[in-house]
Amino acid sequence: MKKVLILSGLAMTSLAYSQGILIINNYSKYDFSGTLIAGSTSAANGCYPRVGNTDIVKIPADSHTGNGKELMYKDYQSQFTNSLYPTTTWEVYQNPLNHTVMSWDDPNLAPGGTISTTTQWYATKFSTSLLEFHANLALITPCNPNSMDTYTTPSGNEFAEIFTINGTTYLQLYSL
Amino acid sequence: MKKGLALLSLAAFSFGSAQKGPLILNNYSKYDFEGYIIASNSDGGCYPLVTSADPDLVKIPADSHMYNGHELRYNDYQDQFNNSLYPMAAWSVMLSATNTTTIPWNDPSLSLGGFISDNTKWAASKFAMYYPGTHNNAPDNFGGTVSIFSNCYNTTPNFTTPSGNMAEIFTIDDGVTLYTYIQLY
Repeated sequence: MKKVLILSGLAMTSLAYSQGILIINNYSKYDFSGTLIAGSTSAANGCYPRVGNTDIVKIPADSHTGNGKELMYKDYQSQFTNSLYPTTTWEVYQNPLNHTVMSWDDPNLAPGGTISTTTQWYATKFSTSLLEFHANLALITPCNPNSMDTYTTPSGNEFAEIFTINGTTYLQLYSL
Repeated sequence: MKKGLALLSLAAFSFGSAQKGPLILNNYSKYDFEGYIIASNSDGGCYPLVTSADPDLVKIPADSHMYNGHELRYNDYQDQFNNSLYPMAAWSVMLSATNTTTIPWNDPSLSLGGFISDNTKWAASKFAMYYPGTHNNAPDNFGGTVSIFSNCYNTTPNFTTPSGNMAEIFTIDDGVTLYTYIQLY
């Protein structure tokens, strides 16, 4: 009985969080440099694990699905061979104090593994080639109830947003 | 004479509401459309910004368009609820970056001639396309944003992906009514 309970608990966890796909469309005329962050969005799980790329991801201006130059990460592993912007190593935090650097092909990062099934793309810290166009954006979740999910520069000429469509996380940048 | 007056008042009515005319979305493609519908400041600024909220994603099956009567048509924020195949029960209204409210379709503040309607135009859609009946992305991750009018959502009004999927947004102004079309191929 106990075993069944544990199993169903695991199944629920898997249903509740699956990493999903990350798509970045940089419609702006500025180059993007940033950290892409996935994490547990469950306060009950303490909001960990969290995962972010070690090396800054750089996406040139005008790179999006409209010209086939978008960033697309399907999961921590396949992105290395299938994305235009591969990440070689990931910083994995199982909790605030326990930090490991994992190669993209580390078995612990496999789709279906615990890290993959308990995390979702939810945040970015980025800057651009325009000094004033930089922000920390995160989906509003129980772990980040007061986060900012859109950002407009003081001039009003640049705009960035993070949002989901059916579990796929989109990060999009715009400029006039 | 009477007819002339009636026409005049109709014309005045149409000019009075800056939302000005319907949004028509034709999905000619073989993929399902799921996305946000966005209206923004009619002068090209960002706010007010009105976004679909309940449901947040408008879902339009593959091959749904004016030629088979399955297109999405929203005459305005309110009328659409009773007259569209894809009714929107509530809209998210941002008056500024820090002021967002979810407003039911029949709230008086969304009526034609009101502040929100007068100061917004259909402007953009951010969307994803899927193989029918699934949430598997169409080729080239067909999706993203197309926009007009908006300082927030400033993209090209049309694009074609490397394998030939196309999305566009454009307007046709017949002098009385401004028609906004979003079309997927």
